[in-house]
Amino acid sequence: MIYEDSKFRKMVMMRERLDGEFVLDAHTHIGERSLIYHIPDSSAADLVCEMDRIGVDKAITFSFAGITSDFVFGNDICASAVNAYPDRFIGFALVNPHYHTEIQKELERCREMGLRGIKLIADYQRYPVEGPGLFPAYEYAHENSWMILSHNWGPPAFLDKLATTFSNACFIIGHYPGPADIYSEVIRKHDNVYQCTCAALNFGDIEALVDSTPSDKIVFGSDMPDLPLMFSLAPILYARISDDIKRAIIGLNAKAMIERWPGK
Amino acid sequence: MEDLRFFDAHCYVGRYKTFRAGSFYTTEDLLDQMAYYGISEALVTHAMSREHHPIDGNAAVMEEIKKSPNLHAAWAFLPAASGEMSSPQELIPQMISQQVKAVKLFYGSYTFAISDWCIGEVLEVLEEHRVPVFLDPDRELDTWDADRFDWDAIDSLCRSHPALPVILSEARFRSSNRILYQLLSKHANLHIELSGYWAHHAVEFIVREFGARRLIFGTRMPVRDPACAIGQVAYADISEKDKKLVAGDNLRRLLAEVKQ
Repeated sequence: MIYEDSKFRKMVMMRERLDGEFVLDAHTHIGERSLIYHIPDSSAADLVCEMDRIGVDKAITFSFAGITSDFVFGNDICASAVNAYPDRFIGFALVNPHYHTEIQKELERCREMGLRGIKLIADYQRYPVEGPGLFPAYEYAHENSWMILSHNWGPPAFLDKLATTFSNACFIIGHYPGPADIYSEVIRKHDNVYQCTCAALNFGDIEALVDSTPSDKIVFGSDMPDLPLMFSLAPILYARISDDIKRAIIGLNAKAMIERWPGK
Repeated sequence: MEDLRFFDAHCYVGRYKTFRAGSFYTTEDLLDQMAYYGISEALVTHAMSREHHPIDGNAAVMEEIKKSPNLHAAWAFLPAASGEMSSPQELIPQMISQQVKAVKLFYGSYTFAISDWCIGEVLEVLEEHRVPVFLDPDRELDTWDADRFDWDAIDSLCRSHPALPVILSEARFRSSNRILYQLLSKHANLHIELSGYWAHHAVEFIVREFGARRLIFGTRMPVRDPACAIGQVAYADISEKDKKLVAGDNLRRLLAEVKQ
């Protein structure tokens, strides 16, 4: 294929909405305020407007507040967004392993509020990625066929062990790990491991990812409103890969993933 | 849809230290990428200007820009006292006479301060000629470092040189936007190059609060994917007029305002 002829490249060059395509953003945050920086225009309504403006149908979302502060407070914000826009947001509960005795109870509360997956970000919570405090979350996901997106899964052998032991759960690698792509073997080995494109922002990253990883296991994630939505989406639309693969990455793979792990 | 005429303020040619397969380093490849991504012009620095020495890099970039009228050179400078470069009073007019109208201060790579006691002689001459100065605090071209600016030094620099167009350019602005907004509110000569400013609605907020003239499009090719910055600007929720300013016309105006 001549990549200059890509429908998606032409759409972004013409600054068009992605009409007629199913787009699902598998990595977004929710909540208007953050310790880390000022985030303008970031209410749930603002984010839905941004998705509409660009042509994003749905987004998996989880709270900002729970990353650095009170995860219960953050999960309530997430549930509020999901309940306000049930057709647009798929909410994930965020937990803190320092409160490991509360995790299962909090996940059950979140399930009742309409959330259907888990976000982990132990690095930011100053907790070891392989630590025991996260296992209640893995167990809950296994029992309820939930998805878990982690900022960092640690060594590939650890993710391999989790995907084997908690085989009813789906494990999403939250960020592109770089051209060495340390997880590619684990992704190939397990049906329940997916790779998010989030932070694949160096020259040639998307092409390298498609070379190393089965393209049906790659899902688009923007990190909005940490990163700008089109900052993360445009590299896929411009990438020198086929339009069929682009279509799968920006939405169809995540759609299939969510249908398989709908969450009880 | 009108062409935004992207003018990339931040890209490199020449072999760089951490080259990865799938990327590029030649000027011919840069021109091909500019065509693929719809970038009209580029302000180019030679990788040696930040990873080896300005004298060799600045000379090398002059050869490279001969390959296309759409390429414009930016030179790197060092503090005057080492005597490694000709005096700023002599060198800067020579530079401008060769149509080089932008300067990059890689003060993280070359380990110098951006205070007047260190780089003041250079800044004074650049200000006299209205040459836009890009301040780059990163030690490496290919880095994930963030928030490395010395903000007190930038405040002093903007205050001491009010006619100098100052452009902040770093690998990643992350936790510093609260400081950045405070400085933008105080200094009309302060601008931001966008290749490292990855923040949701940062373009929209800065345009709304401080004006579109403060933002300069840049990609950091060949390290970063240019689609990131293109997507951020092309789809920004701002007026078409402001979008054109950010995409390229602000940089064109700054270069046009350089005095001989």
